[in-house]
Amino acid sequence: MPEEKVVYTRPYGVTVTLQPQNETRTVKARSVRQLLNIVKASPTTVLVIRNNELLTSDRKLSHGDEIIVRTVVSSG
Amino acid sequence: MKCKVCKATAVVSLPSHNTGFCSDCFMAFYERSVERSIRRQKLFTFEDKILVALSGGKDSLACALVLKKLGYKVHGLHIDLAIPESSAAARGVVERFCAAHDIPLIVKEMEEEGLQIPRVKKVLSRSVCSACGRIKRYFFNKVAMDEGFTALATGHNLDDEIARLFSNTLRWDIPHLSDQGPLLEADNGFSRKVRPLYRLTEFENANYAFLNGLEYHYAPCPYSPGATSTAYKKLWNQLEEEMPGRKLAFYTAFLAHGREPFRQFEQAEGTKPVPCERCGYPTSAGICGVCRTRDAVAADES
Repeated sequence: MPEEKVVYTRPYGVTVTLQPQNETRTVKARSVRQLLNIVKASPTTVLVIRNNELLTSDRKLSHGDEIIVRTVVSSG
Repeated sequence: MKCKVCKATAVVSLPSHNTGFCSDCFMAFYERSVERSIRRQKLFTFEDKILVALSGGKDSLACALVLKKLGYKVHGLHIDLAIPESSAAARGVVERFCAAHDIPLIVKEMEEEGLQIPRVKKVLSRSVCSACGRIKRYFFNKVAMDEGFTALATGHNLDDEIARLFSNTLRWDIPHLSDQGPLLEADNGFSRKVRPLYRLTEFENANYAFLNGLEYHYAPCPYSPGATSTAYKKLWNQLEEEMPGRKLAFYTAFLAHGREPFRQFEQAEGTKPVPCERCGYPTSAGICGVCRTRDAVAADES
């Protein structure tokens, strides 16, 4: 009897850390634009960083990406 | 998105310029923009000895770095506000930045001056932000004057300038509308003040700081929630998203057409500052706000 093939289906997810709050969560975003919509940030008020590289809104994201969204608006 | 100049993958998108840049081309764009501001507004020359106020945030560090890269004579000044939750971290950032970029640094400690911000906050019945700003401006000016600097530069960006202009306009505050701009000439005990980043947004400064590998202090001041400037910036960011370029257009049109009538009115009707009776700092009358704050802190301690 042939061995049954096991398929692991992981739910798609991108880990996003919001700075300066330092809150981390996993979201289902396929692009930076989608990610910014989810975290309710405008593209010109945050830096979006992946592996120490800046991303523009049109860039695609992949499962397992670790993204930092850093607010640039200083307060006070 | 591709870089407008070299067609590599863009890392910065600037809707206000309807363009995007790769890392190298963005830095060239940024540095050209600062050079153009300095030249057009006649902010300073290569002969000037420039004191740059460094808070440890992205704007002030970007300001010092770009001026240094462009070949100006730059010194740093950090005001240690003695706020337990943030001052040590901000000072550490500034010290490491200056050491790494060979920029001489002066640190002024508010604890030594009897003006620790937590104690100032304790004796005030209103928000500490305006008192903190006044104390910082006082020492920026004092160090610049005492140490013979010919220009005092701050990292004020377009968003700061817009928030201030908007606030002044909502109140039709003629004295402040008359002197807002990237250059304030030395006058009446005040040093020459310059804002070389006035055309660049916080977003552009943050990108420049990041792409230059600058470690900067981005935690907000623990006392700042509720600051009116933050609310104005939020409002203007919403407007800018709908109408890219509106911030720069509003500000540059004010410089070109709006400021001069206010300046003339203020020159005719306004009051000239006089030296503080105690420290000599320019003030409207009698003892200046910083000396009065110092007295209030000392009285509270005794």
